[in-house]
Amino acid sequence: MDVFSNLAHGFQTALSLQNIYLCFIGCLWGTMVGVLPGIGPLAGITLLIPATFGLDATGAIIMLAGIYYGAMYGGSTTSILMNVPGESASVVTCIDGYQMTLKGRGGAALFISAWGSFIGGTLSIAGLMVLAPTLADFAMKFGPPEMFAVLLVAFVLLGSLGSGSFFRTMPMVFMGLLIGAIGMDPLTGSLRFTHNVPDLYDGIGLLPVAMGAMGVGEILIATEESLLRIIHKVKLSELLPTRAELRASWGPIFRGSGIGFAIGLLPGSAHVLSSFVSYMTEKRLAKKPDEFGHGRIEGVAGPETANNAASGSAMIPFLSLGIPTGPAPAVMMIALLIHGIAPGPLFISKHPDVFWGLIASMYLGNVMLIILNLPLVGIFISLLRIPFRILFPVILLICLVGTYSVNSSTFELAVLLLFGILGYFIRKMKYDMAPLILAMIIGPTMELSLRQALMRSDGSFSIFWESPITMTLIAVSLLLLVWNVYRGIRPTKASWEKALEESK
Amino acid sequence: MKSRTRIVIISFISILILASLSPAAEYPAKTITIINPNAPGGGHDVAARAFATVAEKVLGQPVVVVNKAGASTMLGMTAVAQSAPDGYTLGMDSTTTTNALAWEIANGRKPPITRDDLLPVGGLSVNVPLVIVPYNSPWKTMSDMAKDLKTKPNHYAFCSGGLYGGTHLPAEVLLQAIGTKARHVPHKGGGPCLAAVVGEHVHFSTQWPGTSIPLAQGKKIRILAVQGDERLKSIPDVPTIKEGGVDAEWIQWLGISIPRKTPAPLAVQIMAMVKKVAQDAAFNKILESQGAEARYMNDEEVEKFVKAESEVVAKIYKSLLAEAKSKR
Repeated sequence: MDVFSNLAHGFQTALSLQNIYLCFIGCLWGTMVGVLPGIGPLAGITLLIPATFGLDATGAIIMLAGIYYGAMYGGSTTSILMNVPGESASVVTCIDGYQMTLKGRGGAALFISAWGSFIGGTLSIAGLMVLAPTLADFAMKFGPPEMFAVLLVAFVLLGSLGSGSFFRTMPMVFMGLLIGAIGMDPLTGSLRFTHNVPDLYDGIGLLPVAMGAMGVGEILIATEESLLRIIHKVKLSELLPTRAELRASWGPIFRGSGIGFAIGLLPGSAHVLSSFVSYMTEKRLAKKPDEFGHGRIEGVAGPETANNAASGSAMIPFLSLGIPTGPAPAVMMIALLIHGIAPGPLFISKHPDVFWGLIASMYLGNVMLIILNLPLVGIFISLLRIPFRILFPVILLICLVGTYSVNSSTFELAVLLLFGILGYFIRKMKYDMAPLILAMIIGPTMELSLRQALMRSDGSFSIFWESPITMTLIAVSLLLLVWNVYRGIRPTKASWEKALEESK
Repeated sequence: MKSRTRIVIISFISILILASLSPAAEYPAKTITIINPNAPGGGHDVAARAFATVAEKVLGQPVVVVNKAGASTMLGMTAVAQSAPDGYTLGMDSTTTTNALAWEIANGRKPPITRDDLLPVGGLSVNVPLVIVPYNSPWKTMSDMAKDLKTKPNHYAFCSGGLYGGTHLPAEVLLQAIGTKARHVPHKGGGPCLAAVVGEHVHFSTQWPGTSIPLAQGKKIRILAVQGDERLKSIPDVPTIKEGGVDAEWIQWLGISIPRKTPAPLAVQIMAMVKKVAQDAAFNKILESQGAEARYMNDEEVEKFVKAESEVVAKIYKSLLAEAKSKR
């Protein structure tokens, strides 16, 4: 009962005119930074921090949190419509989302992604509200060995990402790993593949690569197909998902909520990982996994739900311990510090008004966002009616401006264009870009946690079977690996028929 | 054709330079840019943005913050040092830059700039690291910890927010003062490192007060010592490291720098502006809310401070590199 009376108090705070207004501003701004490629939630929050100087702490955090989860709603838009990931969590959404747009189902994809975001977001706030302190302590038990085991599972899953065969995926994975290795070695400080170019010391940024390889590459491909490419003129009735699509989305949405919530607790690139794991789960569970990559609604519903659920649970370590495990919660924490509130283990009991006000505002914000986003679907879809010869230069411009705005780096512009050209050739050769980008994310984190664990144990691998969590996860990844190999060599019906044909 | 274009461009640029140099008395006449060499978010970014808000009022001109992150502040500070010395580009300078430059030199590389290319025009705050351990750690005092570290070199593990970075160096200063070694586990940022201390994945760490003090109040970690020259007002019970029996003081500074070639009268004007901002109560409150200690230093004090810290850092890097080499 305690939770409900607290929540009722929270709603009293959140429903003040000022806080409703701030929540709305946050959600609106969040949707905008999510939609614009390059500018992610991090930059969005940072830009508005000075605007909170004059507000009270509750109002400030309500607005900034609104940007954070609002950005997860907006991120899918450009991925689905233009194959340009709006922020890094939406890389996997591009795979099936864009295919749906090409088939004229872009409206449905956008609709489902907003709907899934709403469910995932709301469920994860409920989880955050009830379980925050317990889960925070659990999350702290996730040290480097556990993190490594999680990433190992993700890495094995990576092999079966993409529409092509294993042998078309692996080269891209390896290329991604190599690109991820560029920069300063995090444990010894030696420089890898930097050729004394200071711009390379921190490695190659993810977003310029993702936006270049997927977005710019797509534009180049499209110009080649002559500017006559026609996307179905969408009728209003076609904006909505069909009954079959809705039914197919329920499972992914609920599974995505769970997956996202669990992964959001982990430190690091939680969003990206959550959408990717959700996508792979859906692909595994699907009756016809081969259809993934050609516009399945499950490939949009799952990941887009998962990244919203992750944005809720990523706030748990920050709100209940004062430990920001990702960059966006770190910025929100700074905003709270400015207002003289130090988030820490005593935060919830010392400042219940702030905590419960925030929780209540998050429920409110999710409702606002779905109301805000559903009508936008129609507007965004009508963007596709703009002739390509005008639309493509505009997309290119947005990619360039978005990339430059993050670090004011001309080097990253070069990266964007270079990977655009590379993406073009890779696509021509019928390889997928998504495995490359995900390998770029998973590789360096996995390397870091492996070496952190070994550093901790003084080089002994026994640290990996000391904890039950690690052991289970490693066993799961081995099973997945064996299953992958089995599936690869297992005689399929088609191969039998072929063999029979040949033996005649 | 080409040479004519060049002449036109050169004359244009020189007109621009002349135009911006001559009316020094009327400075500032246009928008001023603060280059923050760190990624958006983070304590330095907040300080830069708060500085900009107050400086706008002092100067009567818009002040914008531009993030130019990369190569642990070197890219951004290079842009500052190489900008036109007209007072319209300021840089958020700090110990991080000293560290990055010293690291390049220690490795025998030539950094794009040196400390001589930057003119500090005022320090704004100092940040004092705290020695923290998990709440259930057997170490109750600094001397307990020092004793164990000394008897078992390379047995205990500590974490930092990044290799050779702001939270790694204080730990190395500590270890050198004790005369021992420990295993270093670098993390990506202070948050994950704090999580590693709370989750007992490492034995100790040196971290900033802003995040550490609430965790200690919530009984998730314990603070054994303050690595500064005096106790902190917010935690008066915690002794300084010297009181704990180890002579390993280390503090970090944050301030504003401009290109060294800036004309002296203009530099003096900027110093006065920085000083005025540094005395603003609201600005100092924001700095202190991040756990830093607002402490204004004039240009000479900063130069002295930077010189001393450069020497210490260079020494530590040298010994760390020698050690790494001997292991290979």
